[in-house]
Amino acid sequence: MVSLPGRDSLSEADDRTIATRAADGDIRAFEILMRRYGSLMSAYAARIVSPSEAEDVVQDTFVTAWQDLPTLENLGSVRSWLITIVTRKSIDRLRARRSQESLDDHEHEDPSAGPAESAAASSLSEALSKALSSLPEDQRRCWTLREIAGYGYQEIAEQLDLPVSTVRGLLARSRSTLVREMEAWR
Amino acid sequence: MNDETPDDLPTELTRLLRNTEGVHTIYAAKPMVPALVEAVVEAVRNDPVGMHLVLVNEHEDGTEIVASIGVTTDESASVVCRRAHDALREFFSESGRPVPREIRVSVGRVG
Amino acid sequence: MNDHPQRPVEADNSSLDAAHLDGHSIESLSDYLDRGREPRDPAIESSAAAQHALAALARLRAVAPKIIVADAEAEEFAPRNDHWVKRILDQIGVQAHAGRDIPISHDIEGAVLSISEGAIRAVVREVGDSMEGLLVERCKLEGDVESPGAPVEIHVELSTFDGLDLDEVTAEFRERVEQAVRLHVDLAVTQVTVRVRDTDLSEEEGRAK
Repeated sequence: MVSLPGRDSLSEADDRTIATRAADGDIRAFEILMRRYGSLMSAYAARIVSPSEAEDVVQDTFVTAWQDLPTLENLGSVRSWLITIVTRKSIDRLRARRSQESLDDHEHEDPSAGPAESAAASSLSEALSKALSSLPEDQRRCWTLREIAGYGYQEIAEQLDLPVSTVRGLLARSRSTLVREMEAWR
Repeated sequence: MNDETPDDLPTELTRLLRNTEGVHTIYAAKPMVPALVEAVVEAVRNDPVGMHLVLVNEHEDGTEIVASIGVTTDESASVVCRRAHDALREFFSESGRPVPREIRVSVGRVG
Repeated sequence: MNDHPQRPVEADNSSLDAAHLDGHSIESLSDYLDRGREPRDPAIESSAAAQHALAALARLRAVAPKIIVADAEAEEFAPRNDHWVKRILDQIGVQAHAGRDIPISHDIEGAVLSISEGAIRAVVREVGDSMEGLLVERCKLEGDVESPGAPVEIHVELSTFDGLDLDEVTAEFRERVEQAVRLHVDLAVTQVTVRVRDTDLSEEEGRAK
């Protein structure tokens, strides 16, 4: 299919315009949204569930988002709305996983918890990314929900089914590790 | 489904429509309630080749066929829709089966 | 200094070393930061070590989103295998946005043919996409589309880009819409109204219009 000027304009249009079209039923506009934020949502979900499950979670997110988009009042905020859905789906996935394994079973920890360790980090973000990957699952999860999703302690505790005091401890430890890495980088 | 098993009617009709000129997609004729969406997601994940999309409803006074199609832009959607209907109707008349009392074809997308 | 970052031999000089926080724990400082430093705690505010730690925590917070963005740009997270997702969305979308059935006539008994309102609205959108410099944002069919021959109005909201002759462009757009709709279905389209959202204006001004 030949790319026509109008179509190019669409892929460069702002979130509000794309989301308006998608909410109106334009699947091409929704695909642009998926391309625009798919990687971000994947990278984020990978920190809550695991990289191998992130893709499924993101795909489920898109199916839900497509159906619910007409109900979003502020279409300009579609990005954060998508993150909200990914967070919900990620936690649902954790719950489903949890109900299938014993609390003591830690074998579910994904050994490849993030981007490849082979190359040396060439930026602070990369270095922190590796450090985030090296954290134990539960620390990483709490940190992501707190610092990226902006969840409060109580919310994190409720969603992950943990005591608030445990959440506090996990956050403190994850921050310790990450700050140490951040300062070692300077 | 192996080669020896004859396809059931909805599958045959779905394939027939897919091969009709101007038709590029078959959409689900049944309303997609939330539970059905999940079923569709699962089914497509497991079997990408598209399912019983054409509906065959048997009633006392005859059969009702329901189909939803996507058509290409280069022809009139009305023309393709009639063509799709006629192809379905012919399938029955040519195989000696009783012609359905109603054949509903709806165009869900153009292009 | 930043071209070849090197890890110091001992990485133990962290601002968050618990031993050096004047008796404050990382947990309590984290809490304090998360509470927005309210209510003000004089003990923390007057401790240089605690302030140092808070500054480090705040820096980490500032850089947090960049970590995810960097991950996203790394190849590992590019979405794969989404053909089937698109097919699902296609199915859902066509149904969800179908709207009313516009009848298509056929002189064979038992034939009930139609095209969905949603399909025609997509045709209108497509007309805009094929024209340079304008973008259909919303489209509505007004009138009893389900009754053959009933008068129908097509209302379109679109946005345009700088430097266009609006009158000329909207006139051309209207004509193309009428043509495209006529090609696909028999509708008594009495009018195509176009409302242009001015993209020169800022968002607030646009809303006030």
